[in-house]
Formats: sequence, structure tokens, C-alpha cells
Amino acid sequence: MSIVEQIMNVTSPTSEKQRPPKSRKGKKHLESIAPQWEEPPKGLLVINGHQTSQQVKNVLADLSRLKKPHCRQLRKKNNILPFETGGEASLEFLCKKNDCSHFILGNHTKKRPHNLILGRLYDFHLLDMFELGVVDYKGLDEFEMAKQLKSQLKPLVCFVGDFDSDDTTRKLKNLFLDLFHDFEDRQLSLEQLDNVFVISLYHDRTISFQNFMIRLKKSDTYLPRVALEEAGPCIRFSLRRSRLAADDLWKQATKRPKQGKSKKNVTMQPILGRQVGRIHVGRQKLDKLIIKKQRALKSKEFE
Amino acid sequence: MVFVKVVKNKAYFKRFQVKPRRRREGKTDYRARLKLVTQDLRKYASPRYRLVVRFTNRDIICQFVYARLEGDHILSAAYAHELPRYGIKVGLTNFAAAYATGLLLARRTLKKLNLDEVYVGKETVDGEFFEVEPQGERRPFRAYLDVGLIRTTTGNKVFAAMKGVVDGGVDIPHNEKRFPKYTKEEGFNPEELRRRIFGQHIAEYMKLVAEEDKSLYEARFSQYIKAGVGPDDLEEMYKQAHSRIRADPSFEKKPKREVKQHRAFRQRKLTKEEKQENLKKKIEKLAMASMAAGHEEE
Repeated sequence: MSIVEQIMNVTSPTSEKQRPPKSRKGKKHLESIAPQWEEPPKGLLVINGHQTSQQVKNVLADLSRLKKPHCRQLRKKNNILPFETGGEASLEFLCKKNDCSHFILGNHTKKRPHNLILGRLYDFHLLDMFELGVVDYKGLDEFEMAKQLKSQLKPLVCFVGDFDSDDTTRKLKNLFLDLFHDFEDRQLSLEQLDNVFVISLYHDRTISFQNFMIRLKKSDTYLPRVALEEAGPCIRFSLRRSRLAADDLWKQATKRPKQGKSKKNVTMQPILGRQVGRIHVGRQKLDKLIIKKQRALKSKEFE
Repeated sequence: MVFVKVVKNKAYFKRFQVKPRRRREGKTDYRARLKLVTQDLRKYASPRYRLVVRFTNRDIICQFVYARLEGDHILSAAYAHELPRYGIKVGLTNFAAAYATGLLLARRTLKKLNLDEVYVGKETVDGEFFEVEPQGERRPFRAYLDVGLIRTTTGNKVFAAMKGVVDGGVDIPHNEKRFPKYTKEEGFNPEELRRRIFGQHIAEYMKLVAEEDKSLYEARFSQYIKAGVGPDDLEEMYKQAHSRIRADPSFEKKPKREVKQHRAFRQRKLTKEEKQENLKKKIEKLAMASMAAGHEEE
């Protein structure tokens, strides 16, 4: 067992007893898995259930392409039923193994045709999940504009409809936002913002997911005319079962650590990769300087 | 019998996830690809262009490629099999041909982007290290060398193609460490690079073989003899090709070959009548043979 594995077994942010690390390597590892002010992008694990319809497979493929490169698609069937008691155990295992905190599982049964289960984990334990049925679907390949999409998307996410009226849709909105946003590129060249995901909630509690390209066209004024052109995929979901996080777990999961203060007068040397600090020494008082007493320095008057 | 622990047991195969298709086929280094494709989104809106250089047994492929969500797109391409148009009739996969193909690609692309007059590159080839510098309003077209799965040894032909592209006026970040005959002690040798760009290493070998064994020369350089290219013509041939590429780098589309009739490779099934006819002939033949045999016995 390596040092890292040993630490992994005994420590996790939620476990009550956390032994202080003994080695520098262990300390570094704990820091890397600890909650951060700005989290790195979360991965999405795409799983096929015990039975999947072609439509569900296509939806999973399209969603994983939108999420590239922070996405891992499993090729084999996995007989996972997360809503059953104890069904989430193997899901948590797979997510941990692939280092993904979001998952989407597709399956297809007579009772729940074209079924998607979208959820997330906190500390590699299930936080919340939502079951969505695919009602209507038009794939990425059916749109002409899809050819214009860049290899990495940095989408804007726009919510239309009254998501905040009840707890389920509010958390679902939060999950969608969590899925498609990351802190990795806080700065972005403006031309890079050229697509927007529109997620809308209808009165019959169905949800639609659309992707548009933003086109800046000529206008009479100096500001360009903004036009949206649909670039796929276009999916209509119906809301099925859901499991929300318990309040205290939610509170723990959304707690943000303190933001580290920027250190003054400390810079990184870009070439050497070393920290360099600048210190200021106050004015020296020469008259009170203590020096080694020497005979030659003594004035004769006192003798 | 020694006890051998079964490592690849049922649990292993149950959990086994296959690698992506191009990994399984041994065609893509995904680690390298990811690094080449990902663009710094803070700075750029344009995709990251790659200079893809690949060698086949009889051809060299040079392309500028960029990635989109649905797959890779090709901005422009040049092939060594286009070189006979510019006067390089033989030796289409050698070092000099790789340089010429790279030069062709660069000039073709810059013409497409209307940059060819601003960025002319290096017109007199002397093998010296050269970098394209920004001139005028538009910055130079930048691409990154994608070598694929080859081993990047010193003097590899991939770097000849890259040198051709750079001399053609495209900005490719590189250094001289992998150009031919580079050593740590002696460093970069521009004369050697120039010599190879003009095929002089081939000319030298031709002369050597011709001197030692005439029949071997005829066997090894049969295509050169056929094309009427001797060791002393090579330098002039490449020099002219470079200037002709610069004069007209456009792609000439071949007229599509009309297919009149597809050749059937599978044998047609015989009809019942034909089969019976064949059988009849066979029986007759056998009968004749047995008759003949009977006569002989008498």
C-alpha cells in the first residue's frame, strides 16, 4: 500500500477522525483533495445501464461531447439502479475510480422508457440525483450549425421559466449550472463566448435543453445585432423521480473554505519556479549599534 | 505444479473497459493530441492549427488541421505526389521531397489566407536557422508540428517538411536540435541541412554505387535512369522546383476517372440449364475416354 492509499483510507473531509499527515507527501495530497476556494472542473462519468435504447445512447454521446474533455464514457453495461436501496454503492465506486463527481446514467425499461439519471457526488458519496425521461430528441448531427462548434465549449447557461418555485427544480437548476460551468477559465477572450445553453422549464414540468451559437451580425449602430442559431442537441425531458440532499449534508457540501489572502511582496520567478520574497529593513541606528569592544576604538579621554 | 495466481480473472474482465478505437488501432497518441489541440481560451478565439506530417511508402502527406467538436477539419493539404508537376519526378519520399512538400503546403495556405505577399519566407535556401517575424498589420500564420507516432530522431524527414513550411513563411515554434548531423559538441550544421534539402546526400550515394557496381546502380536507381536524372542534375532539379512552387502553389484537381463498367470479382452463379449442359458435356467426355480405352485394350 502506498502512502497515498493509506491516507485515502483514513482521511476524507467528512470523516470525523482525521489523523494529521506524517509526511510532506501526505500533507500535499491532503491539500490537493481538500475543498478549495475555486474548485477545478468536475468530471462527468457517462454510464450505460443494464439496457439502453438507441435514443438514450445518442443523448449520452451528445452530452459527453458537449462536456469534452472533462468527461469519461464507460463502454460496458453497468447494472446500476441508484434509486433502489444500496444501489448507489457501485456508482460511488465507479465515480471514485474515474475521478468524476458528476454522473449520468442512461437506461430504458418498460416502466420508464428512455431514462436518464443525472446526479452528483460530494466527497464521493451521493449528494443528489434526478431522473429525467427523454420525451423528444434531435441529435447534434442533425443540425448544420453543429459543424461550427469549437472543440472545447465554454457555454453561457441561460435558464428560462420558474425554476425557483419549488425545491426540486431549484436544485436541478443548480445541478445543471454546476455541470456546465467551471472556474478554470475565469478570463476568457470575448470571441470565445459563442454558444449558449438554454434550459427552459414549461408549465407541464417538462424541461427542454437547447444549444445556440451566438452570431454577431451587422447592424446600423456601432453595436452588432446578436442572433442565435440553433446548433443542437435539442432534448426535451420530463421530470421523474428525484432524491435531494439532506439539509445538513447540503450545507456541508456547499460550504466554501476561506479565500487565501494574497501574500504581499512575494512573487514567483517564472523561469526557475521559485518563490522570491522582498523584505524591507528599517533604518539602522548606528549610534546604538553594538559592536565588539576593541581597545583601539576606545577614546583616550576615558582612560 | 507451481501455484500460479490468476490475475486476469472474471472480475478483471467484467470491469475491463476498452480503450478508444484509435488507441486500440495504435494510430493516435491521445496524450500528445490533447496537448496539441487544447487552446488557451483566455487569449485566442481561433482554433489551434497543427502541421500534420505523415509518410506512407510512396507518398508524403502534409496538412494544416484544426479540431472542432464533431471532428478534425483540414484547412489545406499538400502531397508529394503533386511534385512531378514541379519537376521532381523521382524520389518522392526522400528528405528533399519532404522539404519541397512542406514548402508547397506553406505557399498554398498563405495564398489562401491572402498572406503570401507579406510573408514570403526564405527565398534563397541556405539551410540557416530561420524564424518568421511579424510584418505589417497581420501576424504570421502559426501552427504546431504534429509528428504522430514516429520517433523524433535527429535528422528525421518530418523536420525536413517542417523546415520547408517555415521557409515558406509559416510560423512554427522550433529549434535546430533535430536537424541532420546536429551534435551536442558541434551544434547545428546549416551546410549539411542545405546539402540534404537539395538531395546532395543522394547524389553522393549515387556516385558511390555507380563507381563500385554498375549493375547495382541500375537496379537501385532504375527510376532515376528512366527519368533521365543523374547525380549532377539533382541540385538544379530541386532549385527549379522550389522556384516553380513559389510561382504557382495552387492545387490542380485531376479530372475524375470515369468508370464504365465494374469488374465483377465474384463468379456468377450458373443457371440450371447451363449446369445441365455442362454435365452433359462432362459425361460425353468421360464416355469418349472410356471408349478410347476399350479400343486400346482390344
